[in-house]
Amino acid sequence: MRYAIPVFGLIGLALLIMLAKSLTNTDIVSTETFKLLFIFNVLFIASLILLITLQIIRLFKNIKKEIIGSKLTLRLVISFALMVIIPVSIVYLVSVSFLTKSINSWFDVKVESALEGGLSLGQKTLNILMRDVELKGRSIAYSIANAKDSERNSLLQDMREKFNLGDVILYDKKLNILALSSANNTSLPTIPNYEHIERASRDFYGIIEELNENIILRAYIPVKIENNLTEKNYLEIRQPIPSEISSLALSVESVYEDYQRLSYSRKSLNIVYTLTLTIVLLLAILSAVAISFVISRRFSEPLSQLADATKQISKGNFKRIIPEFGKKDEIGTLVQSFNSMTRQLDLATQNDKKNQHSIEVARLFLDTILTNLSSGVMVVDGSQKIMLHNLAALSLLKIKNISINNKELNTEIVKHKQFLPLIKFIASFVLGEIKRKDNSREYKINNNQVEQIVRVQINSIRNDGKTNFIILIDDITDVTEGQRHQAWAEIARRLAHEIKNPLTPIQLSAERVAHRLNGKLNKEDQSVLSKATETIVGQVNALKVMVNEFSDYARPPVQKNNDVNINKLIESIIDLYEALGINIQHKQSVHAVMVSGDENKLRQVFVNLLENSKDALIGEKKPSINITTKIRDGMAIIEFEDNGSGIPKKIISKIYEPYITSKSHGTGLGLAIVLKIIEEHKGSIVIKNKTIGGAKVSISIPVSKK
Amino acid sequence: MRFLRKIKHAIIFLIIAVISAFVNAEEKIIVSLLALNKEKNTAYVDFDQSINLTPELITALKRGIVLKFEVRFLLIKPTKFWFDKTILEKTATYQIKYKNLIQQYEGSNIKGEKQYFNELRDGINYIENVRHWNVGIIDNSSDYVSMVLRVRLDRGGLPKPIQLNMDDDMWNIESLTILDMTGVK
Repeated sequence: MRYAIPVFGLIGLALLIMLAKSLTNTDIVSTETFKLLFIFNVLFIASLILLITLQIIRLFKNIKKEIIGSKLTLRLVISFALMVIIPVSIVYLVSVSFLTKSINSWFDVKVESALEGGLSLGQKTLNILMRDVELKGRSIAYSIANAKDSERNSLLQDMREKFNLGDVILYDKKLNILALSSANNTSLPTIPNYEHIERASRDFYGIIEELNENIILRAYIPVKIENNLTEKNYLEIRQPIPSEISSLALSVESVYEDYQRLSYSRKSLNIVYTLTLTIVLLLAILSAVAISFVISRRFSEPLSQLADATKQISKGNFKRIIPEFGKKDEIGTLVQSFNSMTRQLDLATQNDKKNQHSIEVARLFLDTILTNLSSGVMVVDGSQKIMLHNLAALSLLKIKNISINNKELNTEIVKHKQFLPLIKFIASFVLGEIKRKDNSREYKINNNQVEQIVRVQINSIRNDGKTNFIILIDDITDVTEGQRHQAWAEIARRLAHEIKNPLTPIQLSAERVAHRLNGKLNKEDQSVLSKATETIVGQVNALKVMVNEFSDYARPPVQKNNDVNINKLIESIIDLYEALGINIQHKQSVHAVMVSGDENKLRQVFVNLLENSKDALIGEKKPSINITTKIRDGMAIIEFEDNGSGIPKKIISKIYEPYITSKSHGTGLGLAIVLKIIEEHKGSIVIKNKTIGGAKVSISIPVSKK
Repeated sequence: MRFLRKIKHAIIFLIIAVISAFVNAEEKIIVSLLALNKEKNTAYVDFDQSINLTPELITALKRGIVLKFEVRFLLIKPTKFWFDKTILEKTATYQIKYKNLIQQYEGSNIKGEKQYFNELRDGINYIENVRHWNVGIIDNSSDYVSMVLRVRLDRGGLPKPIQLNMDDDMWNIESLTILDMTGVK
């Protein structure tokens, strides 16, 4: 379609020129050629109309589809078409009017009258000459009728010469020549027309003939035969008109006939010229409209592409480049500038994307670090609004997993009353009420009977002219406990070392005193000595037990790792306690709960726990201990429950510390050693009081992988 | 197709108009006699025709328009599955015109002989009946089955504007006579 319209335009122009030429040179161009050209033009006009209709349909479809630039193309086409149609139509109307008037002006009344007058003059001259011939003929006929046969020829000759006639011939009724006289002796007489003779039988009959650009008067006159009334002879006179008169009359006739023919063709002439002009008009207008589509599209295409590209860019597509077609006009410059701008935008967007990606990666990296950080991290601004936080911070401050960004860090978010001092400290620090050097505090938080030590550290950072605060929250309970256990272990180790050494000499010395003095003292003294030495030995033994326990507490971690069947181990321990009359129930969800560890140490744990339960059940009417063993999530769960007095609230938070005990006897190292053994087995222990009374101890140790 | 459906009424009207034009076309030349004579190897044609001029044509004649008729004679032998074979072909003209100076009609017959007539009918009569028109030489071995005589007004002789004005039907004067001579020796 791109090339169809220019080709059509050129063909139209060629046809237009040919039609105009053929019309101005009708003598050269044959009628058939003109008709063919005319038909070609009509067909071409039909093709143009079809082409334009298709273009208009296409344009309206584009407008309906809201294709950018189609409305502009329509406006340009209408403008171009109007620019052509209006002046060409005016020229057409003026031309048709001018042409009609020009054609009509050819047929002037005066010219027609003059021509008719000239012709009439010629006719009358001929009639006068014919009348003259008639009179002369009648005179000759009268003379011949009375002449003798032998005198006819000479009489005819004399009279022809006398009247200055061309040819004079006398025929009988059978058209035989009776006498002849001719001015030109070389020419033979022609046979007369029988019809003419018949007409002449009644009276004179004259006829004017044209012969070889000459006018000849031919007259037939009946000649009466003497003494015969029924039969007649005929006289024929041929009189050529003088060549001067003849040529003038014929030229007047020729011009008159030309004028008449032209006058008669006036209507056709008007139609043909008007039709041709109409075709020229249609060709010009339609070609212009067709070309206006091409021009409009050429004009609107870069603008359409610009509009489309702008739309694409507004959607974020910076890859749209408009073809520049090497134009050096304003539109070309605009397109080049636009493409340059698009490339720069594309480059900037790509850089921005890269930066965004880097930032995103960094943010993800930071998120990952913060998420995996066991310490709670929180960033607040000067108005204590939370800007950033991690999960550990939420967990440590017991905040429900809700979005707390841009919310103020206050008691509305941290609802646990235990954290009130912590919140106050943060607020004071942020408000500058506390010195910047005093940026770390530790707080003891009681959480469901479990004491938790939390350390808060605040640092201020300046970012973009604003001061923000990074709050680090750490659960240092384990660290503190570890340090405490380590201190206790050191004490225990020194105590064991310092106390254990003199105990044996003390015991041996006491026994030796008792042995040496046995029987040497009186009964009363003997009794006192015995009691004293027994006391010394008894206390030394008690000290040995205590020292051993201290040794156990202070000893290095176990190294022995064997597969231990917890169920079997517990069953063997239960057997020892059955004789005591305590109802011990052991529930096993699986037959074998295998863990990797030191069987003796684990036995020590279970015995210790059962001992504690047994002590707590003293005085109970229906003492019972329930032991449950099961496997959950790869961990062996061992639970000890009793219906005893439970653990006093005063000591429950520091039950694992050495020398913490509710019992009147014992060292208070039992649960400390239990905790140590369980931790050595990579397990954990939780001791709680039950709401219905009694205590519950839950131990979890990783099951054996074998 | 949708476009054709829309203009179907216009097409039907056009077809009817064209058919009516042909059906109502007045026959302006009627050939009443057509005969072929052979003298030795030369063929001569005699034909009689009746030329009916409309008042418009008579007016045109009086205004100096020459009515020139072209007659074309064909002797053909139809062949199966192909165009007819032409054995003989001859074209000639005759005309009538009005001479304003002498106020007479000049008739020129098929042989080129001129004659002047006061009355138009006499002039028409002069050119209507054609006798002994030499159409060519045919040998005895030639077999032919049809004679075709086509007489028409030669529009090439009309003034150019009238020739170009194709809209004017008054100049459409034509006659076609086909004589089947199967079995005629």
